[in-house]
Amino acid sequence: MNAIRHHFSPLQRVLHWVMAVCILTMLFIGVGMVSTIMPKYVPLVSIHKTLGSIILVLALIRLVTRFYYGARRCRPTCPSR
Amino acid sequence: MPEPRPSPARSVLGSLVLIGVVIAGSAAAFAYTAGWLSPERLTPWKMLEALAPPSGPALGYRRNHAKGICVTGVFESNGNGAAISRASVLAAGQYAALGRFNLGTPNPDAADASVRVRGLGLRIMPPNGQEWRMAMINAPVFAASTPEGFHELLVAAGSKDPNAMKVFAEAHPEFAPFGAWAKNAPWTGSYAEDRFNGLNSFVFTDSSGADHAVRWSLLPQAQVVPVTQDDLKKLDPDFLEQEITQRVRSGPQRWTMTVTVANPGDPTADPTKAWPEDRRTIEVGTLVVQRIEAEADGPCRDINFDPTVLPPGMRTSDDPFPAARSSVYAKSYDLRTAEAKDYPRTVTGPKP
Ligand code: HEM
Ligand code: HEM
Repeated sequence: MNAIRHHFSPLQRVLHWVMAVCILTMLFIGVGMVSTIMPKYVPLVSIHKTLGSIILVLALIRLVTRFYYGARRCRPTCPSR
Repeated sequence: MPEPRPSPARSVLGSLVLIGVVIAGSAAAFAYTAGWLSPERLTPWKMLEALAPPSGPALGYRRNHAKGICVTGVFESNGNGAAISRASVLAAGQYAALGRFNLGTPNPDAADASVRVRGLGLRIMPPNGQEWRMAMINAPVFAASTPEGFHELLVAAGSKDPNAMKVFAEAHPEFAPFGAWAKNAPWTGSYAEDRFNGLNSFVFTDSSGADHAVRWSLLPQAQVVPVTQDDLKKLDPDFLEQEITQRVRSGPQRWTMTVTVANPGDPTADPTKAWPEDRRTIEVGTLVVQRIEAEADGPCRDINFDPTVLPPGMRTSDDPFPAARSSVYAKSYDLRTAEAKDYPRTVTGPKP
């Protein structure tokens, strides 16, 4: 049944992009919160902790999906062959 | 007719421009967020620089209120506070308390009689983990109405210009009540006789969901004997720590905690402005101090008495200080805990 797949599963792709958005957001929240003493400091740290923990959980789910679905098979043109 | 296709060169150029714009835009947004484009932004680091003495900070110690001693005991909540906050720590009961008596100086070797501001960092820990942290001082009002104003004050106080403080006080009339207290208020010979005030306002939420703006204080139950600074200068440089250790050894010491509720319109964002005397004030419990330990090996050493660590039922108000303090205390905590080797745990000889 194992057909050769040239794409990651939809779940893997969703996870990839959700994590991309989360991690980029974290970089901004991180440098923003450590450089301010304004009232927004408190909510920023709290979002940072929550989102950081979510990213850890997502990374674990991602590992599971990787073991379950595997990686896509490269086409002959795939640069990283 | 076939569509004329753009020349490959132009489309590559177009893509490169687009990529460049996205990268440059993101980089600019990142630099702006990080404050690299706004050198005037007040950061936690600048606050610490302004606090540090000319010789530099004492490594391993708190960047302010550096001299202190650990206390442990219990907070006996009488349940009266439940009328204004649903926080479990204000429900009747006895909760473990950990604190730190301290002096408002960045110098851990300062002589006790030389420091006007005394403080108490406190952490009350109900068994459900919803703890309440605070850091209070003996002054009845704060010295600055905004964190920016406090930074200016620190810069003026550290300036070589002999007129700097005069210039500051003239530009900041809100400093006057604190200045008058510092100059005229009597001193005491013991932490046990000091009153500690939270100064910043917070919002309590009761079980019906109603909000109340509050400030709190700890009032000493010990007999207060006013003394002058000159009386204290004759004593040992560490007399406060010796005295409180002795006193607690001979029996627990107590403070009554009161919470004052603002009337509508009272200034909640400015800790230089006291609220009128007649405001509703509730006695919510008693702090019982049972044990004193040196800081070097004590339980208060690696604690950050961050005033934004609040249980459900309490939150920060429009007062900008708690957030500013939280950001600066975190930086101070990071630095001092990373410098632990400069402040050895078991003090064998004199302090370095
Ligand atoms: C993908 C990127 C990031 C992730 C997943 C992440 C994750 C986390 C997590 C989970 C915590 C909470 C740790 C705890 O409470 O014990 C934390 C705290 C922290 N992070 Fe990040 N972080 C990221 C990026 C950054 C950046 C770019 C900065 C600053 C330049 C930063 C600065 C901090 C600081 C200062 C704290 C401590 C906050 C405090 O408790 O006072 N982080 N981070
Ligand atoms: C923006 C204004 C303020 C700044 C920049 C500031 C700065 C600091 C710093 C750097 C520390 C050492 C923190 C640590 O390493 O754990 C500290 C401790 C302390 N501060 Fe402030 N502070 C401010 C406002 C206040 C106010 C309004 C009060 C009183 C209501 C206060 C009372 C204390 C006390 C009692 C401690 C000692 C806490 C302990 O024992 O750990 N501070 N402050």
